[in-house]
Amino acid sequence: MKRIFAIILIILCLFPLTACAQKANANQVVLAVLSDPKTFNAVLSQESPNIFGLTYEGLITENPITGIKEPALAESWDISDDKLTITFTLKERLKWSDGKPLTVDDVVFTYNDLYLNPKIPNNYRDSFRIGRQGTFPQIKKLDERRIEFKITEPFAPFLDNAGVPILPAHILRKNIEKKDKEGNPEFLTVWGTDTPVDKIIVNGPYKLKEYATSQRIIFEKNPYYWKKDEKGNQLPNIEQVIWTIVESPDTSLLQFRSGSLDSISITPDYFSLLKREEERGNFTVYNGGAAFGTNFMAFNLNQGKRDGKPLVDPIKSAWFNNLNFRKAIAYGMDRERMVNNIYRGLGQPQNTQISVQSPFYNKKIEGYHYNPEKAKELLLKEGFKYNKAGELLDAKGNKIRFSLITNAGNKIREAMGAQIKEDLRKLGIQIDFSPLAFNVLVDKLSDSLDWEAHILGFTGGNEPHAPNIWYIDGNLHMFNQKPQPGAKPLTGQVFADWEKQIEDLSVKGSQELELKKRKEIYDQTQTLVSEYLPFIYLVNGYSLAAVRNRFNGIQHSALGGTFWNIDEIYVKDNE
Amino acid sequence: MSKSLKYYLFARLLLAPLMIWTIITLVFLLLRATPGDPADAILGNRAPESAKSALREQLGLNQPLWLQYLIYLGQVLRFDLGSSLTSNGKSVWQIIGEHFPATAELAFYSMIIAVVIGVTIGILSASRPNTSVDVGGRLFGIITYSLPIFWVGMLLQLIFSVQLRLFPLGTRFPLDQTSPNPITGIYTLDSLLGGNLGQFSLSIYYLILPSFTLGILLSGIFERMVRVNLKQTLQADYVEAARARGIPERRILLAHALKNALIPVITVLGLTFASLLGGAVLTEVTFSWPGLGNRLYEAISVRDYPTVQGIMVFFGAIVVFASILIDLANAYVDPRIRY
Repeated sequence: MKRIFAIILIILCLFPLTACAQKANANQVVLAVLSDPKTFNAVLSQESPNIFGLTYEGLITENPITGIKEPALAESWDISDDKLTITFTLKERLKWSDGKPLTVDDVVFTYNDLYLNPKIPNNYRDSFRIGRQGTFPQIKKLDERRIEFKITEPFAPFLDNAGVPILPAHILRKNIEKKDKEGNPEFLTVWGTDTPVDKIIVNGPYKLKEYATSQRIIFEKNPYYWKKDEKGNQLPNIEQVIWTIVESPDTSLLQFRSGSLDSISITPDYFSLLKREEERGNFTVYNGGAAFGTNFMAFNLNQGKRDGKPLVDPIKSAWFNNLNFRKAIAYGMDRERMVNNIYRGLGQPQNTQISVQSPFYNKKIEGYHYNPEKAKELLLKEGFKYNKAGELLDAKGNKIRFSLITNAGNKIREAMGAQIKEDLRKLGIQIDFSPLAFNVLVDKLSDSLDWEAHILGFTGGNEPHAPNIWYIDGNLHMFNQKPQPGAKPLTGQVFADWEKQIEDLSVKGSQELELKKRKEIYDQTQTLVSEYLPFIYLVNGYSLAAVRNRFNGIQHSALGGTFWNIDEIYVKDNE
Repeated sequence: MSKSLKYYLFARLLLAPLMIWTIITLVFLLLRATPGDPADAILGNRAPESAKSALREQLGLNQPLWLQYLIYLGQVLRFDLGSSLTSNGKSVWQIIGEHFPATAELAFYSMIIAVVIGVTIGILSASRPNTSVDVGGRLFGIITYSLPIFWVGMLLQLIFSVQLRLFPLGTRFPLDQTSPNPITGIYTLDSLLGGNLGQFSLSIYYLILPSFTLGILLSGIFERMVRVNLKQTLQADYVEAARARGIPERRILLAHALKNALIPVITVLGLTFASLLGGAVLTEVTFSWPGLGNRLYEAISVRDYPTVQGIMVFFGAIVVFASILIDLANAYVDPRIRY
């Protein structure tokens, strides 16, 4: 026994050695990510978050605080008078992380041979389709520093496409030219996560240094990154960024509290705990305001039939398509209570389809504040009535009861559903609320179209153009969805005038490049959506994050996150 | 080796493939019975159906279930566990090779802690029957056996990492330092082989909290086993005889009784092995320990069928063969055991 204690004692004596190894103020940032990256190929990646925000830059970038487009690899850009030609001028002396020059040829290669190559399936390609016609831009080299993008109709969101990562032609061109047996470019299999990290050539502030599966990804400074500070010092300031892979958010929280992580995003559940520990833990809780994106409840307004059978029970369809019924539901939901109970006060009601912080958000729209009396008044006006048990009936005596679905596992949406069920019970409406597995939910919303009401959310940004949602044939026009390509067709589907009006305004808004005029157009779309309620918007939480106090230059933003400006942030002790 | 033992070993070795086949079949069927489509997990829910169908075809998921099963069985017979659906086609053996050393290291140190704590408390408890020490020991056995591992893990992390800031979390080695030169993948061993004491102490330092969590929960099993056996042994005739000869009680306990009382512990070691691997999965997830259990959890969450199947079969095979080895060791150590 004595020997065992002696061994333990020896091991304990060795611990002081470990203290030397713990550099509390190392010039690095340690963050947690939920899972391993699936690829190091920026074009093929479909995941978020991904490594490419650190490793690549596009021609221009959007400042997440101001929403203004700023130069990145491009020094400047000009839009022709007819708004159909955009010319980008590259910065001088740009280099890849292997020291080779980054040229106009790389840009043309990236757009024409990668993003616009039909043989390379990628998430970006569809966003390059211009306006209603869906044509692709023509991209060509003008001279050693200028690239021309030609489009067929004016299209304001097009500038977003200039933010996509530019990839190195000198490395990847051969992988496009070389084809496999089936005629597919070899590019489809290059730069997987098994590629040695030094082979991944980048142009962003950081390059990959080490990747250990299920453990960590280490990024180190790219010595050839173009950006310098005011004194001419090479940026970024921070030597390395470490992403540790932590599958459980609860474990991430513990790791942050133990000092192992430098920052963590905060859910409402953890806010008060972390706020209390701010001083002891030497960190600051940042509030970036309402998060981008929306949460909403929607009714299935689709009046179509498949194989002669209505998608929605005609009795219920009549309720859902009754505007005052939808308004009554909107008035019947207590969104303030959602803020207080579900978001613990850390959120705010949302009134329109555009994110609250977007410059296009229409602040004049007041939304539907909780008013059960008004809700009842509207219902009675439309011929609904109450029986002795206080249940709401329609004019033909049918009890108002419908199903409400959402994706299981999303605690916020599950809590919202439970509250909506409770709120609407006060109006005499019975809701059968059931969270479903996401796949089942998607099948209902996209394929079978067999659903009555749902709670979901969309992610958002500053750009208001969302043709997927607001074009009548859009993939996410879910309240009155057209069948997917290849699916059985519908008969008798009806599109309301206001749906068409919103679509027309969306086209118009996308073609208007002047911010003020564009905002006026989107103000109108928001007014229409608020009036006709295809989506009843609910509540948006705040974007919260805790960051150790050892960093200078943190500008936490709901859109960009905490370290969006990592190239300028520095560790205080390294000043 | 006696003839009966040889026969027993032969029978167990013959049965082992049958047990592994049962594991393969159960894992295969259970995995496919759970909701979720690998194509969705890999490409995302909103990926075009054509892309999903192409991927399903590529992965063979469009084949009838029985055919998929037969193909997989054929692969396993050739010791081919397939390739991961999510790690760019990395082979499952490669994944096992990368992650198992971390699990083995955690399991090894947890077992040491479990044995040290369990045997010590068991001895104390048995040598002072019906005293407060005995009651405490029994209580310890019951509590450690019934506590959920993730709860203990979280609690220890809260106390020792968050409050006291004594131990680090979330990795096997400091993130900003080069880990030991990989020879076996077991950091403590590799650092000793490389003659680097600093790396060794760091590896131990990072191991303490997770291995203590797993070890303390397994120690209850040993405590109960040792206590019961030692108590019985201490009442045996030869112990009484030793007392009558005037041998000091301490010597009787450590030199005579304990040796015999520890024999059943070897059997428990075998039984504990399965719990150890199960516990290691939970501990690894709780501590983000980069072992095979953590990788298994990740693979389950993205419906990476080959990885889940491969790791489960690997774990199953380890438990099957470990139990055979323990039985043999048991027969060797305890001459009373006959097969």
